[in-house]
Amino acid sequence: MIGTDRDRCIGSGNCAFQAPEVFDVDETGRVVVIGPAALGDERVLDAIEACPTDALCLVEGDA
Amino acid sequence: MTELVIDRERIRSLFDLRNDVYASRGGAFDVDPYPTFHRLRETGPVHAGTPHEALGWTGDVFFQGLPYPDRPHFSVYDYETCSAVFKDAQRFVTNLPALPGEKPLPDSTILFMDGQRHRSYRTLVQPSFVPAKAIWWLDNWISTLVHQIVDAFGSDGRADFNVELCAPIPLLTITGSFGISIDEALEVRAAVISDGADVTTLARLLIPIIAARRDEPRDDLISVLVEAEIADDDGVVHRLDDTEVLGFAFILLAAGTGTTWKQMGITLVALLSHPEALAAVREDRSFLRSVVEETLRWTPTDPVFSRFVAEDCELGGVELPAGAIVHICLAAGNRDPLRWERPDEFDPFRPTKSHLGFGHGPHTCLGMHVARAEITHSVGAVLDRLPNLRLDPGAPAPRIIGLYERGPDTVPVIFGGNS
Repeated sequence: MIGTDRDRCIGSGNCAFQAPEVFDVDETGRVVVIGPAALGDERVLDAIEACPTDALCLVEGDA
Repeated sequence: MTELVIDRERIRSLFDLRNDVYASRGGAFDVDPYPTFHRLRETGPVHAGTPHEALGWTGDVFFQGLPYPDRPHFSVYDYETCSAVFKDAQRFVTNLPALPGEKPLPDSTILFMDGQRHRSYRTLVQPSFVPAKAIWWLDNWISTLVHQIVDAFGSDGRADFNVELCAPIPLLTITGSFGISIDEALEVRAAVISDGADVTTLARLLIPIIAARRDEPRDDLISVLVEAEIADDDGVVHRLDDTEVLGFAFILLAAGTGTTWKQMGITLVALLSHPEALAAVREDRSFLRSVVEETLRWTPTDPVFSRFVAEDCELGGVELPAGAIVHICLAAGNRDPLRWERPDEFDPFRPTKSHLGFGHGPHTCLGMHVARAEITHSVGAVLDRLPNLRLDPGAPAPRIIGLYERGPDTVPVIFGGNS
């Protein structure tokens, strides 16, 4: 499962660019998770790392 | 909308950029900087001094964080530490009080704001630049513009893409989003290159537009800016005044024209010089995404950005005093062998990994998705519409030149004729 911190998020869209079926940026300019992340999906892991403000993380449990 | 025939001659005269690149930003620098970056990184991620000093450049320099002769300078050359500096916006800031003899940096533009103030102002425009908005930019401005410019080439002939394609598209995209016509935008460009009266010319064009959009908002960027609401420190909500709107307009032009121009040129040179990659793109246009990203990794147009050190700290084993300047050599980070195999090789077939070509941290490039859309759409269009497009084998091979701002000196192409 993906944890999102909307206070940290600046709406850069890095995550939506890396994994567009999983992440999007809403009209307020903050991240929303729009789809499931397959376990071990490299692009999701990359999106989490590529977040400019560390607003994403993997949460314990299923991906 | 009336069909506008782009005047190739006028474009050429306004955008022949041999003058621009040979400006004070180290444009005459024409050596490959990457071997030096590799050598430095081998002995540690952080080194005293500036990138241009390490490269042996003794000419004038002008870029973010330069020259500041009264401050100590440090440079960073590996991926992890570059990434860490970009992200640590507490310790590494874009604005500090000026020392005696230094010109203070304005804090009226998001480029030089920090903390909550930066966040509040950037939030006003960020929604207009998210990936989903790329369609808005394409449908409103980029598609038509690219169509008009490529149309002017015909299907048989030659061109210098650097001047005739890469230069006008980013400028006219942004001015289009301001509601400025192509003719007026070229007027601004003429002012930029003649007497530097760009600021007054642009203000003269924009002020009536700003007033008009306050009256009647449209689906464009100036309307977004005039309708934006920001809360000041007392929590009082206000709209941006004309100066603040103009400030945004200037930074969007300053940050989004030259960069995309050069990066588009670098992308075309890389693609047209690598037959395997070109064949793959011709076969499947979606592969262009990998080509654009790999070019950003391999040769980003702005290889270095800098920050002021806000407090004494340690970085990569080096003590940094407060007030020092750190040059984040993201181009070196983008070729870090710890992250990428064969890092000096342009290989768009490699597995995708995020890179630092658009920076990182809270100041990460605002326009990145629009830039990607401009480059992808333009390259796709010339491949679609200009048969047998290739680099002109009779012209000198393009060279990537420049130190802190890099791009090809020319992109001479031929198309049409016999295969």
